[in-house]
Amino acid sequence: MRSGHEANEVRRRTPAKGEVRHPDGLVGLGRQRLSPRNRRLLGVACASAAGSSFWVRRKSAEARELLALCERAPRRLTVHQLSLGDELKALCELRVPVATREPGDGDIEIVGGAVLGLCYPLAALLEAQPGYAFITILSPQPVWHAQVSAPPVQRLCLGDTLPAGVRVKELILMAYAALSMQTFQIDAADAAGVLNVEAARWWQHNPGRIPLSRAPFLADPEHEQGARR
Amino acid sequence: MCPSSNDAAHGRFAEMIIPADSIPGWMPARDARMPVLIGTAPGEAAAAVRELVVVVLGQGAVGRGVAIALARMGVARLLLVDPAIYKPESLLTQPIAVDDVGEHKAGSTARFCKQISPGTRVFYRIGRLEDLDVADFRGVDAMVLATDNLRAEVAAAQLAVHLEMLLIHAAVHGESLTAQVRCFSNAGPDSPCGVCLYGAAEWSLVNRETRFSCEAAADARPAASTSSAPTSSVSALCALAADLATMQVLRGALGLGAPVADTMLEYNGYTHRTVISPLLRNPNCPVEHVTWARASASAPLPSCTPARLLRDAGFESSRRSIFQVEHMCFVATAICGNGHTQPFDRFVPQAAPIGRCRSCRLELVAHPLHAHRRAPEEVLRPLLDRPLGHLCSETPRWVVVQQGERAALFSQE
Repeated sequence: MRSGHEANEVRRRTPAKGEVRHPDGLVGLGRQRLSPRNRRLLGVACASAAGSSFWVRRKSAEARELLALCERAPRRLTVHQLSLGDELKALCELRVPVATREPGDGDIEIVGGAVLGLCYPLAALLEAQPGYAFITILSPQPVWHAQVSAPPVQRLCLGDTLPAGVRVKELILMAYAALSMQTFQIDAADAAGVLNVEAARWWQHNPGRIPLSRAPFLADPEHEQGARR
Repeated sequence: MCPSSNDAAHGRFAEMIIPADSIPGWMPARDARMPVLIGTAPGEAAAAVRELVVVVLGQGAVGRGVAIALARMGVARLLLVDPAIYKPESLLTQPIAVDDVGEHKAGSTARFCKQISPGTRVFYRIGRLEDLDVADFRGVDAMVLATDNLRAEVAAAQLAVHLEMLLIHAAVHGESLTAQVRCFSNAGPDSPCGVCLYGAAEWSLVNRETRFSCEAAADARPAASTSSAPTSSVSALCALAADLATMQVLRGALGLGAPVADTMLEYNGYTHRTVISPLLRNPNCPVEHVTWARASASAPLPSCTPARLLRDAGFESSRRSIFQVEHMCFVATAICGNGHTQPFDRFVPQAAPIGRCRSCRLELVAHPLHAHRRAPEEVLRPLLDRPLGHLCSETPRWVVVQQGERAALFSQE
């Protein structure tokens, strides 16, 4: 699996012709103004945020940063539901090419987006978590990806271990890179990340179809076609 | 092996029992050598020690020394926890005999403690601290942490904060010949914990020490493997750390000298000096500095409703309340392999099978977005007046109700 540093290199590459990116990139997300819709979403979630004041502050900040990420990439990411009841829970729509394949089918089908369930517990601040602890893919089903477990709960594995205090925005960026196959793990013999051995073998035999997109997260998905292989 | 050693290996505390006829008739009285400590009445120190209940986490070079010293003082109860066995190298730093090599540390130490202090009730558990239950700590006066495993250290810090328990952390740094004993009073939200002192180096070590297997992806509570380096030290330094920690237990229990609360005691072999420093709370510490005040439920827990527990805790109904029922998870919605969802509304043990889909009979699992380790009142609202016995798949032994920095712990006697 590529390291985070390598993933950042991928994100920093020169924009392709026609790509529209926010001028600030990912810098200063904390200062990003939220749209009225996202402000309302955050306000409602914060009104029922439970736990110690430290945890409430931290998850509110993580949630705000997640929404700021939506503002920076409005056509890439949308948060539909947000809850800070105990864990930070969010239902997000990520516009990213995702491979699906029915069992026994010959070829894969590429769909244009995924609905992600994000759960960020208090324990994530205190100890390293397994790579599959945070994100599940609610749709499409079944995803054909080495790092995604079989339904009903399609966990997305972002590596063998994620560090304590990992940021929510990083999880989203890692999920984008993994699903678009800009960073991914297809070595079925390496336990660090492979949740679907059959899919890992399939992709090993079809390396020419990787990645599904070369567009960076902040690029407008409308202009993504040209960036695909 | 004692009769209940099976329990110790299966996640429960087992009591070390030795046959009465194997106890020599010449065993001395427990307090035959206890001095009349300055400032105490005759017999006062011995009586106080006879009441002490201490948990010792880790029975290696330091923890075994602490356990043995406490047994020699004749404490009331000792609870020993360690998942490991003694290796040949343990002979170099740990107070063991050749016959102990290959034995479980917790069981071996428990047997030795019981032999030298038959009047002490000694319990042991072959396992990790992270898997202990709150109910195991009822009546405990102090917890001695003697492990280099940072993951266990974080778990111990969180538990001691919740239970307002004196935590004494003993450690050595072999290269600098330093023995260190830190005492955390956990006497309220402003008291420091071990994690308050963590810097970038400690967090980096926490991350490096922890590894998960992807094969455990199906488990809701995946077990991490930790890989801390073995203690490199001279045995005298480990013994010194153990003895200093035991002295802090004694000083804390009897209130001898300056308070031990929230202090760090360090001895250095190069300077040959001892330094005591205060420990301070870090406002950015990620541990929840929330005390679980013990509360009494007005009925047996299975008959109590969440609404009743809120009232018993003295809390108003609020969207900011959360309910934790042991290590169970509240599953509001379940989902099957065909994507059918159905309301579930029960507390279930994590990773336990929860039934079959009404439509297609496939196995149901907790919907990740609708499963809660601590259930918010907002999610429980339609069920607030339903007894816990109906809401839980197993009889609950303890429940925590939390609102912000206040929390109440209800436990079944």
